[in-house]
Amino acid sequence: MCKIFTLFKHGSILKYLNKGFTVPLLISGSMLTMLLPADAWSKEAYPKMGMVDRMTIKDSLLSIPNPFLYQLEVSGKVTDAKGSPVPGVSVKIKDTSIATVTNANGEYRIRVPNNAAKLIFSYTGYSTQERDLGSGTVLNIVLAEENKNLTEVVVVGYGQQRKATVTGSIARANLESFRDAPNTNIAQSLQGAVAGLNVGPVSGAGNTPTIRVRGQNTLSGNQNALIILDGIQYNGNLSAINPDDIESIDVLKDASSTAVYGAQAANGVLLVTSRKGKGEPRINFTTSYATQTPTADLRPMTRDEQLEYMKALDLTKSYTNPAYVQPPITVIADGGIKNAAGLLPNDFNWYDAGTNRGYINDYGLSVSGGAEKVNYLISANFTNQSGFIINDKFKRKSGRANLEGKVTDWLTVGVQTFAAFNNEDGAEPDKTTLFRTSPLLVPYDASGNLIVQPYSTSQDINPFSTSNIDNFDRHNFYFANLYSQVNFPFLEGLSYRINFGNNGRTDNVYIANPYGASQTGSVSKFVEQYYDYTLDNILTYNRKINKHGITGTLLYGAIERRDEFTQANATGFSRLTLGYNNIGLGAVQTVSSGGYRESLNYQMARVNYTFDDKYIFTGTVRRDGFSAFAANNKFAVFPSASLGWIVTDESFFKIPAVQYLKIRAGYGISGNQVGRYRSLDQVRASGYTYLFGDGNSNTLFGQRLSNLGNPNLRWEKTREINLGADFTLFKGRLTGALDVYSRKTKDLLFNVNIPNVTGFETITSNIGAVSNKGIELTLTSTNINSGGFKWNTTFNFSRNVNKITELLGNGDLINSNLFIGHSINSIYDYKSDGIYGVGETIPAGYYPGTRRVVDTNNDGVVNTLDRVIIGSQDPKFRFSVLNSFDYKSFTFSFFVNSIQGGSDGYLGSNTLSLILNDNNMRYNNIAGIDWWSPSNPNGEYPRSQVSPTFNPGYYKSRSFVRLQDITLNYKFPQPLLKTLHIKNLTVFVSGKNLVTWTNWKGWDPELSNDSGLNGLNMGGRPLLKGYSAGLNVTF
Amino acid sequence: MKKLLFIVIFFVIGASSCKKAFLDEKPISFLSGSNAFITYKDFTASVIDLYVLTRAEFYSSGESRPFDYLYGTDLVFDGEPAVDRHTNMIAAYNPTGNIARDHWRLLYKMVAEANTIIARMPNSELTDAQKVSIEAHARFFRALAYRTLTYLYGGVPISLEEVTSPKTDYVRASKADCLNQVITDLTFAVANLPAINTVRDGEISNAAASHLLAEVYLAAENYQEAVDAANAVINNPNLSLMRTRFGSRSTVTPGDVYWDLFQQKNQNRSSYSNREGILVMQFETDVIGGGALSTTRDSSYMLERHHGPSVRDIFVNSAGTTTNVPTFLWPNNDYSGGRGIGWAVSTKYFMDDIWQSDFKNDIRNANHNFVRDYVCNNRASDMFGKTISTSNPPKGITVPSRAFYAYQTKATTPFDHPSNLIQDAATGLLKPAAGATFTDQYMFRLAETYLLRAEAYMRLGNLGSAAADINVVRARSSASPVSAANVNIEYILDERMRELGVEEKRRLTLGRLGLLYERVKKCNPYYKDMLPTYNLWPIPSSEIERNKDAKLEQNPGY
Repeated sequence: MCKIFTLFKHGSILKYLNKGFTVPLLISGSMLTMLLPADAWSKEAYPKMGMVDRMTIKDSLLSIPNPFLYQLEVSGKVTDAKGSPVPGVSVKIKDTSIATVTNANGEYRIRVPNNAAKLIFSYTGYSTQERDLGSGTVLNIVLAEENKNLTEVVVVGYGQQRKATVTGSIARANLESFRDAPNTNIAQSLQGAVAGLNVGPVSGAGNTPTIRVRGQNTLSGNQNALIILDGIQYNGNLSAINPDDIESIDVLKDASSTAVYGAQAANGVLLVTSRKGKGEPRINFTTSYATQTPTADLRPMTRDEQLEYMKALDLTKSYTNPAYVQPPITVIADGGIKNAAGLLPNDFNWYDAGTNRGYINDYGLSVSGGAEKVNYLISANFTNQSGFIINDKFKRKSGRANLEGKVTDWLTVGVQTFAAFNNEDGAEPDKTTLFRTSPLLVPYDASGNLIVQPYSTSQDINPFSTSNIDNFDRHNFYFANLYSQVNFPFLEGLSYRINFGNNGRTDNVYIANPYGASQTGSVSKFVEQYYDYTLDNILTYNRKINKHGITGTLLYGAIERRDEFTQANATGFSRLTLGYNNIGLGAVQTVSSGGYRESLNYQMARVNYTFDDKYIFTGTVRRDGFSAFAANNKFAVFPSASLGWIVTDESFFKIPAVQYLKIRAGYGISGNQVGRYRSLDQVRASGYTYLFGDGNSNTLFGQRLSNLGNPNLRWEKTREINLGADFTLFKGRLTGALDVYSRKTKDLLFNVNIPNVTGFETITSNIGAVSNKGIELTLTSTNINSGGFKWNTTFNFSRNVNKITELLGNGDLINSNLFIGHSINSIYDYKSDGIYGVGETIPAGYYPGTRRVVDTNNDGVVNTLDRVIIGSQDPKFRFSVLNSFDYKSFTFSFFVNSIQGGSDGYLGSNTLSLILNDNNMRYNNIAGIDWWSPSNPNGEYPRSQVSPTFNPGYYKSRSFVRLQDITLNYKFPQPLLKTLHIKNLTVFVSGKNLVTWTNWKGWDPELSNDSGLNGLNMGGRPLLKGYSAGLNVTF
Repeated sequence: MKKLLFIVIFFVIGASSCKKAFLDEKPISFLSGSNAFITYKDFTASVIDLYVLTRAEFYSSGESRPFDYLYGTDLVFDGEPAVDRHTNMIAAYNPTGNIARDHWRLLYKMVAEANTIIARMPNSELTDAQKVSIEAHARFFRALAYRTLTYLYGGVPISLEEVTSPKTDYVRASKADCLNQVITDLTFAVANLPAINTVRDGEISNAAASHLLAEVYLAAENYQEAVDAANAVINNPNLSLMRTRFGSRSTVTPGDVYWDLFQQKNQNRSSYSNREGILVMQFETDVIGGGALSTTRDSSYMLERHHGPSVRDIFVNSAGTTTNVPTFLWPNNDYSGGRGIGWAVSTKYFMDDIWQSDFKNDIRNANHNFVRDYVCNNRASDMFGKTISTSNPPKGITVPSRAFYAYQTKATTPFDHPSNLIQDAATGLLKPAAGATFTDQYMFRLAETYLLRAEAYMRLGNLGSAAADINVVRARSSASPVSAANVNIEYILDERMRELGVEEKRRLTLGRLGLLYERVKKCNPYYKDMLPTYNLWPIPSSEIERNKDAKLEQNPGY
């Protein structure tokens, strides 16, 4: 195609004309001729208006940015809404790199090729404007302050809402900044990234972290946030979801926003939305490779180290025998590590043999697009992860198809569906055994056969006898949400939507272990099937009449979940040739099976009303019924109300630094449910077997009342007040949200310990109340944005204080570790002030090298009355900082995450101690431990000949600061890509968990402290760090 | 707008018309209180669990707890110090410790199960006769549990009703009240349990109830009633001491009738006409409900592991010097103690002192019943085939010590371990999974009934009858008779050691008599930290804390 330009001669000056509009040219016609190749234009006589020449210039030439061609100068002034000039605004000609900026008075001048050119005005904090030149050469612009808050849409549950009209505490996760991180699970992208959303780390391949919102407001109830995937409650494993398929995650934090999910929402709600196809067809391919190595450098002792360690452990034999002669090590050493010739000669590193460098390899392909009538997204993903421990493997194949069609003006139908096939074949070696098997032993004999029990003196097995086995471990997930929406033609704004969500899972875990059951072979086969459906009917009415905006939503729905499993075991195989495929060949066969069904039924009504787009009211009421509650308490009602006021829209609001301010206040009640069957007295009939007489065919099955029923079990109810503000300051340079909340949970569900005289350990009861108060702050600032360089910082801060306010009956429940006025996670234990040394006066029941227990009540004896509250496991506060830098085609970002506990918070148990016994004389241990000994009286960890009466817990701060993610990504420039017919090509390198600053000893402070596994514990596992590289290409 | 209203109304009606049954909760893979106590089979299933609980408490709840009845007494001491095995007694018997807590928990579970059975019967389909029978079973086990609790802890809270809502205000009853309750329950059981010749092997009978009743009357110091109850057992024509060789290995030599009593399959009445067992706890290997596995010792009764010596630690050669070549091939299927690890080391009192009068003639002291002379079985050692004796130990080996002491073979199954456990048939080497004892276990045996009656006669001043009863037992083992003048409680305790040894729940006997402290001081120098306080265990501190609405008094000294 060519554009036709007409050149006029006006005296000695040429005129450049298009569509009859003339502008003066600044250069002569002869120069123009020179600049253009001969074949680029043609001249012909044109009779009118003194025109001398008419030339045609090939379009392709015009696209070459050549300021000499741009003979049209445009000028103007940029002001803001209040008329003040805006300096520094970028003014750019569209589709070129030619740009200028406004001066101190907000004025600019720029040459353009013609008056068909378009100018783009952009400035941080203001909406970017694209303007046609129109017919003038002066273009004055009024820039509107950008307000993401006004345009952004968030998912709120059973619908979407403009963020501007949201009155609850809802945060949208920043997924984009973590897309390039080596995360196999979408939840890993949330770790530390949203204030008030507490996501833990993972240490095993494919694992899903814990996801908690705000403080802990339940004891025995469910603590995990509710996950809603494309509108459907998702109880599957998040590891089934391909992170690339996820468009957005919105977090509902306070009760006024979670109340739409009523009885299951007290722990917050995560609304996960999958991508939708849009625009022209797009083919996207991504791939990445990441390394996986441990962040901690714990290792077992070497041969020499273990021999020294044994001497120090058996002090009596080593140093204090009557002759004061140290006997040879062969006398001290256990028979299991020596033979006729003396100590075994080996120095084998079991841990090295049981670990390897891990990796994550990821491939994703998606095709998407959309037109007026239909949109589609089809994606496939393959993830292959190998962890640090051998055989810790995770492979996921997944596919997704999202389709939506507008059948008629009033009917839309669609489906969101995915399937994932997770393969976790392979069994890990037992970690504790891997660490503690003596380096004097080896796993294989001279002919390469595995030595099942390497110690001749104990039953301890070779750790590789649990990994060198046939393990088939598959988990398949299926999800399909079929929906249909009807926009009723007879009433504008009224629509009906039906969601039919289906969620299925099959688990198949088969094991054939030739070393099992004392080497007679053990085989097991476990098959589980889960299915749930959600049927939601949603009626929405959305109308704006003058200044009144109203959205009403009615919901009626039901959920039913069913599960069943079968487990078959056999031991005693003459041969295992057929592995787990023929369990019948085992001599001893046992089978078990089970299942459950639970159901929910609910109704919800919500109204969202806005007046003048400034005053917003949202009210919801939800009624929930759940099968697990006792007959008298099946249903409960969960109401909420919230208000919002956009202060900046008021005419009286005149603080220039504040462009947007919305104040929110909400109150709501949400619930937490107890596990199914907990209100029933359960009579277990399997596992209690006996027989009379000799022979093998007279097994009798008993039954046992396994727990006490509670016919009065009620919902746990959480009431929450949330006050918040969303704001934009300093012309958009600083945006943020601040929330303060106070939530009180009543009727706490708790498995309260009761006297064993009853025949039971616990009963699930509603026992008290707990309060959580907290503050959450998110700030995003643009620190620099000039000359193509942009630096953004996002800062998150959250703090939560947990306190038990009320307990059933008479005060504290010491035996259940619950204390009024203290956190649920208080640590109540003996206090220790060191380790007893040799020669000290040591009370009976204690020995040199055992922890000193403080007689806190000074009554002369140490007993249970000396326990005190030492501190809490709760963090004091959390914060994170994300910095991202854009320069031309490069983006660099790094993310620092931290949890802090102060002096007595975020404590973790790290109770390593050692006493002399057979096993400890055989077992290896962690190298480099600062053990107490007579020659190391200041050693940190107790070591003694006899176990003491009390070995108090040893608690250390888990506070840490972590460089969690760091990413550099490069987008290839468009001109180059155009010639390759590629829309977009990005390459990236990133690092995860590269540095952690902490005083914690052991694996990683943030990993779960259950049983002290994350401390100096041989059974723990490391957090993994890694470097990754990858590319993302779109055609 | 009208149409909208119509839709809303339709919606609300739809919402409220949900079927009620949708939210009903029905357990799928287990029963609930509402449907598990209806038929006779339901109740017999509950009774079966009482056997399961009893076996767990006294034999198989784990590696340590069943042996709390042996450690810390005059019988054995600990080869390796550990709180679980009663060294550092302060820690072992601390109110926060596992010992005090775990037995309490399991025994009260038996009480609660029995209470539930009794409470649920009125609303069941049971006939009157079935009700009486089931109740008798439940009350026997409830009595067994309370008797054990009372001996271990003193007076404990008495709970006789089914607990259906949390109760946190228990108080301790007196020891006398507890014993009276046991006597009441056992009296009912004696009257209503079937005769021993009509029950299946291992089932409780009126004879078992009478035996237990005799013992509890002793504790309650009702000695004539004790004699009467014991008479019901001893005079039962279906019961008698075994006096000639019998059973599965009756032709094996060396051997004798006492040895035959403890061989596999010989404990039950039906298999080999054993008339001596009164209540035999059942074990069967590799059968569901059998309680013993040949593939792992876990969950089995691990007496072999505890009481077998740790001969693996003996490194002597014929020159009498230390070597790196083990003298024994361990663990072994022979008389060297199976896969013993020498934790329950016989006291010198148990292995030597009590046998002095009849060292050679008492068959209970024969080497195949109480091993002193060990035949070295490691072909690699120059001691192979030679004998070393605890009476004359090699240089450098202390007797008794963990590696070497005399042990009772009833703790193991010499030359008769399950074939799955035999690693090498030629040498007798066992697999490391060994350590369990693969025989049924006598809970009550007629020989003990004689000794109980002897104790009652002794208390009544009838020393002649007491000696006569003791001599019935001694005569069977070719031991010389005791004279009436020599019968006293110490002698009876010694005779119980000789006859019952590690078979007996020794702590219960000494606890019943309140003589634990004295006997330990007299017979077991190992436990230097023994205190009179330890005659009773403490009430678990967790129980005191849980029982927050009333005070459970702690035993003195804790």
